[in-house]
Amino acid sequence: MSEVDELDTIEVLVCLGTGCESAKSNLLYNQLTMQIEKKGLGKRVKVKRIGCHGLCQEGPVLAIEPEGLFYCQVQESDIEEIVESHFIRNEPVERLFYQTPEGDRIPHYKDIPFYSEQQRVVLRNSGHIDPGNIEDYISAGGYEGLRRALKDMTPEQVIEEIQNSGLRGRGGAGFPTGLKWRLARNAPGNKKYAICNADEGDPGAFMDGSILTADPHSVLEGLSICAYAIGADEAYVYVRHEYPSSVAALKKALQDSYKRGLLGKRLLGTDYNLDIHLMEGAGAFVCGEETALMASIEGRRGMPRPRPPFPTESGLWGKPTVINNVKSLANSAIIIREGSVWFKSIGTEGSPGTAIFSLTGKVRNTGLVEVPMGATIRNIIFDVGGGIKENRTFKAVQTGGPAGGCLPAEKLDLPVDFDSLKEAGAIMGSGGMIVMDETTCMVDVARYFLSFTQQESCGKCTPCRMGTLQMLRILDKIRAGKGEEGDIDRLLELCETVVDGSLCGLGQNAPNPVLTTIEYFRNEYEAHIKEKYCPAMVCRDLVKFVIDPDKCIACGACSRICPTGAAKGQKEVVHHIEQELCIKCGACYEVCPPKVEAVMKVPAHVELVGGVD
Amino acid sequence: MPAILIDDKKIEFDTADETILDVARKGGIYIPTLCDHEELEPHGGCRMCIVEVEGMRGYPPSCATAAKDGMVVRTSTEELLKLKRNILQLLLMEHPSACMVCEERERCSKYRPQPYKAGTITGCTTCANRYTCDLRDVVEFLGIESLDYEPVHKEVTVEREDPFFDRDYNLCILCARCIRICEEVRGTSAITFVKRGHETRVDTAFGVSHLESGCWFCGACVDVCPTGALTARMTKWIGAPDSMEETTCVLCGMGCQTELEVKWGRVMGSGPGKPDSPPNYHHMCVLGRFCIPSLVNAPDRIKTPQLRRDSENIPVSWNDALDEVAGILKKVDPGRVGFLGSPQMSTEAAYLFAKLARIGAKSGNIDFQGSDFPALIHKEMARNQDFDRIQTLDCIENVDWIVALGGDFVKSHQVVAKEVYNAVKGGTPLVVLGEAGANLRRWATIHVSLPSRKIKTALSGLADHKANLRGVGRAQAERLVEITKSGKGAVLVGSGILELEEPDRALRALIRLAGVEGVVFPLFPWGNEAGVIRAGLRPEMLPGPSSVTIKKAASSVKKTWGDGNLSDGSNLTEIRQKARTGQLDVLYVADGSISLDGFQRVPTIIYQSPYPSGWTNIASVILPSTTFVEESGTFINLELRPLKLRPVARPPGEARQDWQIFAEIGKRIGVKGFSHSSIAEVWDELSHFTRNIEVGGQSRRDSWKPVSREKNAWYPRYRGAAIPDRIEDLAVFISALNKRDETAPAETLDELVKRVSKERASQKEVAK
Repeated sequence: MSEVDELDTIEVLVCLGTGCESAKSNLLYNQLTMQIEKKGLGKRVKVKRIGCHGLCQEGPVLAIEPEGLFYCQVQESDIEEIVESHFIRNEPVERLFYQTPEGDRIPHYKDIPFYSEQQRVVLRNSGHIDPGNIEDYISAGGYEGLRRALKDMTPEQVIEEIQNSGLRGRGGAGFPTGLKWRLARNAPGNKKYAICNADEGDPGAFMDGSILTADPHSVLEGLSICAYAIGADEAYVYVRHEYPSSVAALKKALQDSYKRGLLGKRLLGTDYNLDIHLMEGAGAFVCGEETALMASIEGRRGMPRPRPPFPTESGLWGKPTVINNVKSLANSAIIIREGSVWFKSIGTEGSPGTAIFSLTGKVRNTGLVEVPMGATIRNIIFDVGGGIKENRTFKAVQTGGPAGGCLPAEKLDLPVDFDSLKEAGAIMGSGGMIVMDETTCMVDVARYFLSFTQQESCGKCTPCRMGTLQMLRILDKIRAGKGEEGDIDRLLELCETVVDGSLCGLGQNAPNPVLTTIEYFRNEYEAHIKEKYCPAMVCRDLVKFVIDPDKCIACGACSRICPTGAAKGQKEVVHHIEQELCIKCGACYEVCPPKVEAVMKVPAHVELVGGVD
Repeated sequence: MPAILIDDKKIEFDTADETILDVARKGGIYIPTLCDHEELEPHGGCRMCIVEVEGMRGYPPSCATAAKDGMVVRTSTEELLKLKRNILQLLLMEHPSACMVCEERERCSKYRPQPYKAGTITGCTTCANRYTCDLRDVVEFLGIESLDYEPVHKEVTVEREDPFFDRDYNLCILCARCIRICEEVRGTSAITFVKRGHETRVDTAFGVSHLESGCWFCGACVDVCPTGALTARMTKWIGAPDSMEETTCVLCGMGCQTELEVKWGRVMGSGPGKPDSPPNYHHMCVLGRFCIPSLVNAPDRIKTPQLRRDSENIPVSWNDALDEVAGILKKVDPGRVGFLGSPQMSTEAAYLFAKLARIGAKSGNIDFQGSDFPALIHKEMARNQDFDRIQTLDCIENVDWIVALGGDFVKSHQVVAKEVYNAVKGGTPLVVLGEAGANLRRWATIHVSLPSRKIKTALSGLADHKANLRGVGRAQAERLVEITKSGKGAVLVGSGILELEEPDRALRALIRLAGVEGVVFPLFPWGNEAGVIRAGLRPEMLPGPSSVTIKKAASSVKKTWGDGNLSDGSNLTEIRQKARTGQLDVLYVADGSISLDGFQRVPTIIYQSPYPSGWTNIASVILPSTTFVEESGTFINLELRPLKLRPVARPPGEARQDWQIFAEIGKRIGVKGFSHSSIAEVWDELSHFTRNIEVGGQSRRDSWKPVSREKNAWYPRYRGAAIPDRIEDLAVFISALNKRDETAPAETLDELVKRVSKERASQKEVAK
């Protein structure tokens, strides 16, 4: 046992980010603490909960510090082995290490390309500190920025520093954060508000939620600095009710901050007072729009109002208000701590700092990614993301959520920053990045995003309420193979009406997915309309399922699973699909054994000779 | 002066809060709008008013964009018009649009024939809008002749469960005017948008009925609706009226101007007066907005004079009836007769009634139901010649704080409530003492729910700015003093003040509290109390009003009237007492709302009213009079503003105006002073007395005994017609009101959501 005693103390970090938690990492945590107690390792092995570590694809993950070892896809049953082998015998469990597509095992996470290609500024603490422990945050340098702001700097100097850093709002539009603060500071009036917009609602985006869960104090620190700079004594965090873990983390963080004198009366012994309230949104996507968000805080229905006046002039309850995204605030805290010169050294001239994406879709490594601004899309998808799943071909990437656009392979070398994305027709957005391959139909994608905005339109202004519905009808028509000549032009005209006519950003950007897919994938639309053919074989009305009689082994798998009895056949008789009965659910296609591949998806209008169907 | 250039036309404007739309309208440039409304905050939803502004991104809505000096604005470039047309096409998707492109449109907008009849002619049975359709105007302006898109039929059932108005949201274009006027102007927020996307619609929160949602049925939403989505149920299918006539509603002390739809000489519909008609400026309450036609067209109105012979009421000619009355009054003992008028008769009629009593029958036994409250007000205001304190309601915008006492005026005076809410919304603190309903509790800065017997003491303390008020917590008392100790106050006093001990001292304390420049609004509950008091219809008062004890006043009256009884007589309570003890021979009653109690055995009763009541069964003579829509006269409202009553409808049968009846009786008795040829002459004669009001030094009513009253009792009556008994919708509303006040508002939002979802679930269970 003397050998073991000589071993250094180690920390086991259990990821409780949403991805890992849904893979039951909380059970791992319980199991670990139990095993460690049972084996009497309590003194040497500390188990710590962390927020999202980043590589959600491989969850649940465990990180062992200070070595930086990384276990992937850990099951509850693996815990005993990890404890026995790693913690007692000091023999790490190799089979749980990260495996490259080539089959090599990588023990340390910093060597995994997913991590090594990233530069983590905002996510510096995510996956390293216990979000529920304010001491952890402070010992990682936290609240140093707030201390400097309050004690060494005037509000003017804070704004100056943020302006010098060139930080641009991470909510999507990229408005200079420092300028926004200055406008609010200079606005007449004694009562002002600072608001953190944590109403992240884009499908496929989870950056803000992850940061709030993994590192809530960094956001509160940024919000406090912002409030100090603009002269507000009250601030709000508006967070989605559907993010229970973020809400819980924020509640705990607020409690701890008040206890430590970081909020409330006389912050850090200075004369500055600040209260931060937590406001839970009721789940309307439009409440991410700043004027709707304020209406929601005021207790009214979340509906945008025309701007100007901008919130910096007349915001919450008519008072000058700054609304910043979670990431902008987290950035502000570190800018004050490390200085604007340091911050400007990251990223590009026009967009300094880093960009955070939640990388999802048909990419090998899904997860939370932070890269310097100016990194190319290729960098993100192929280096960090590890390329396309199942070695398929990259087709498009969708950035900026439902308000963003789809970029094709030609744009892979586009540097990611506010200006170049906008130029290409997509937007930076809040940071969703959805990767698509050849099995994705672009008409279907456009329809998907549009149906989202259509349902989430608040209904206030006509173009957004009815225009998106009409666009959706046309897209549905095209998908159903009933598209007509001129539909694309009609779509484009509707897009123009909705973009120019809508009241708020939701409507003004809602047509982007349609506009960009038409711009870059017009041939796919034309194939749907003219040839009644869906190149990706996705649109249900344009495909049919048939059984190749030469391949069918009459196993009966398809006829057993078919919900409508369309797949017919008997033992040792080749099966076939009755097209009149088929609802094209694709179950037969999925269930047909990979070695056989007798069920085929073919364009609906293809007449197969020889009475195959 | 700053100016902007709109379509190359230079238009000047003065204030910083003018929008581009305001300036354009000033300059005579039409910009189409649908959601804009002059009383409401800019909404920016319909997108019809978007313009191009040099140097601004996109197309800002002119309704919400402030005009800035030097702006260059274009309202109708080809590009802009195309965009607007496209947006309007989208809007028309959700409005059954046949009307917009119908061949019959021109004739339809001219005549608006009854759509149910029109059904066979034009095929239109969808829209009941008889007024202007803003949507149609915009469609015409933009020149839309065919529809681009297949419509989205909402196919919702017309909501008809609630009283008074139908809601056909199939016609709704979601301009949110109804929602906004309910929230921003009336302070009720009974309705809101629910759901999202194209499923968005107007509804109450959680889909409860309007009765449950706190709706007051004031009809403001109906009046701002630009389409036919919201319409008054009673009158929706009657087609275009022959004319629209403005007159004064007498159903409470507000004296709202109402525009009546007249067809075939009858009042077919009622609505608020013109937007610039004071005192109500296009707002009304449930009574004036929805109840007038049913009330005045009641089939049981008294149509002919009647005499009672052998327990039967026999119709007779006016001549016979008037001779009968003159004969009765000529020979009656002045001490054994009573004259009871009505607070809902015209001022001139009341004046002639008082004159008839005092010089025709030589009796001072004159009064009307509900006279104590206006008498109290006049007496206390006259004490220090404080009548200047009663001002117009608009000035409530300029006070520093408001104190309300004496009943829930949201219920009894909805239009006053609207004015108060707008002051409260602007930040004026509101203190409510005593009774307060749901709205008042929500609006009040402080609600002191003291029992009425304790209010007077607390008020005296408060008037001295003392923070130790008996029965009020220290912190609340300090807030009260802080709010009321300085500045200009407004006092809203309701008739509930009579329930207090020593209401006169309470009122005096209130006036003192309001400060030197303070204003007072006496919320007369019945109607023309102020006018009837001025006419002198009180035993201890003479026209003016002046006290009978003031020699100067008495001699002035005598000079005009000649001989008569100008001394104090008996009031309603005392007349009733006389009747009980058999000391009353004759009673002339002109208000059927007065309780019969005690009067059953009076030998001779003369009953004069438009409506039958319990009195019709015991009266010897019945005289049919007109309602306020059929008579001329003057109504003096709670601002002491004289308002004209205009005869806009034909009275039923032989009914005559009150003043004419009294004048005729006077003539037949043979006394002088009843030979007026027009009602204007009556008014001129009365005005002679009202110039200098001197009520001080009265001999009576020095001590007021508290009267008790049923809590939450609000049961509007008009001259013997109990309106809720006649209009079922109103009865339904009033019974819902009582329930509304009972429910404690202590429920949090979470609890409410839980309760409602639970109820829903159980309803579903039942349905299963």
